[in-house]
Amino acid sequence: MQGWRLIVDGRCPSESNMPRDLALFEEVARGSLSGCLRIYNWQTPALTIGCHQKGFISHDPGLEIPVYKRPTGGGAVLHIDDITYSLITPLKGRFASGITETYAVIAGVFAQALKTSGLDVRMGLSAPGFSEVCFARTAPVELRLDGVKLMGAAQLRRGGILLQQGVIPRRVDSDLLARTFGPGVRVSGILDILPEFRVREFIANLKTGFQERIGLFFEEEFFAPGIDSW
Amino acid sequence: MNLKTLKDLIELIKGTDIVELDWTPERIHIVRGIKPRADKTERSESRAGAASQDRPTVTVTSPLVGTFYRSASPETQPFVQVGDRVTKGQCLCVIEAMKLMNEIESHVEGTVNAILKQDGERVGYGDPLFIIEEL
Repeated sequence: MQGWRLIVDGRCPSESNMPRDLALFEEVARGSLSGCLRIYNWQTPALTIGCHQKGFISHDPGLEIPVYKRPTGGGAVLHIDDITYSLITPLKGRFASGITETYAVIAGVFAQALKTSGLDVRMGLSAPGFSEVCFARTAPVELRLDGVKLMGAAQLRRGGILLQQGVIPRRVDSDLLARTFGPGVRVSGILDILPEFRVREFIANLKTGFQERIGLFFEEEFFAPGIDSW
Repeated sequence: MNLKTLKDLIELIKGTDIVELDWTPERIHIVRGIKPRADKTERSESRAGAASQDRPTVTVTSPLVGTFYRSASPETQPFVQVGDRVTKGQCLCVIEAMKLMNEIESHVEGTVNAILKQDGERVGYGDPLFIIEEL
């Protein structure tokens, strides 16, 4: 079994999150790390957009919210209080497969962890239509709870290395959501459904999921202070 | 134009330096030698007229169905232009599919002879993307 690094960064300055993910990607690409899972949250609300989105204009033109570009694809995501993750790995072993398969492998780990944490998620079927907003559309193998998309994810593949960035909302600010994307975008927050959900317990369940489903364990673990008070 | 006329036309231009021929009943447009700089209506860029006839060329094809992008993001310059020298492993383009940004690399060292897709164009599995003249 190979050893990865688990980094639980806590609430980070919004402008630092994408550069941090890219720095870890470079470490894995150089071979300094065999693989990495980073879990983090956002100090202040921010939007991230996909690599090839040409900017994003909020539904409320008066809304001032920073926009950061992800290195991965996909649509716009509003980050308020999330479990955001970046998974970085060489494209080998269970990750050496097609796009749908690798999404499914990773979604399977998260699904197991979420179910163990008390959330009965299901793998979603693709919903028709296109949207610039991540949570307004569902791709195959994305996780749903009560019919609403719960986890969004997108990937970058470069030089034999995979970066998957994903997000699970913890709390939803409906007013900010509507001002950003307009009415009609449904997002579920974990804590709105399961107030007793705890990030530390979920991360322990994730580690179990990685080990049981993929044969992956974490050699190093770094936990930023304050994870219990996210 | 009937089939025989078309065949005769093809035979006529074989071995000449004509690189493009556009025929309508009202006019015929011929491009000889090195193609003029492509305008917006051109579907691809190439330096076909300048290509060495002796060096092998490699066609880079799409490994997946998705959207072809010539640059890492809309704000950045294209990875390569026609005439650029590329190394093995150098990124040529990105294809986005299922929210995956997939960087497509050259598997040879050479010169970009032609870029066969436009930025933002949908591509299918196996579609030719680039022609690279090997060193």
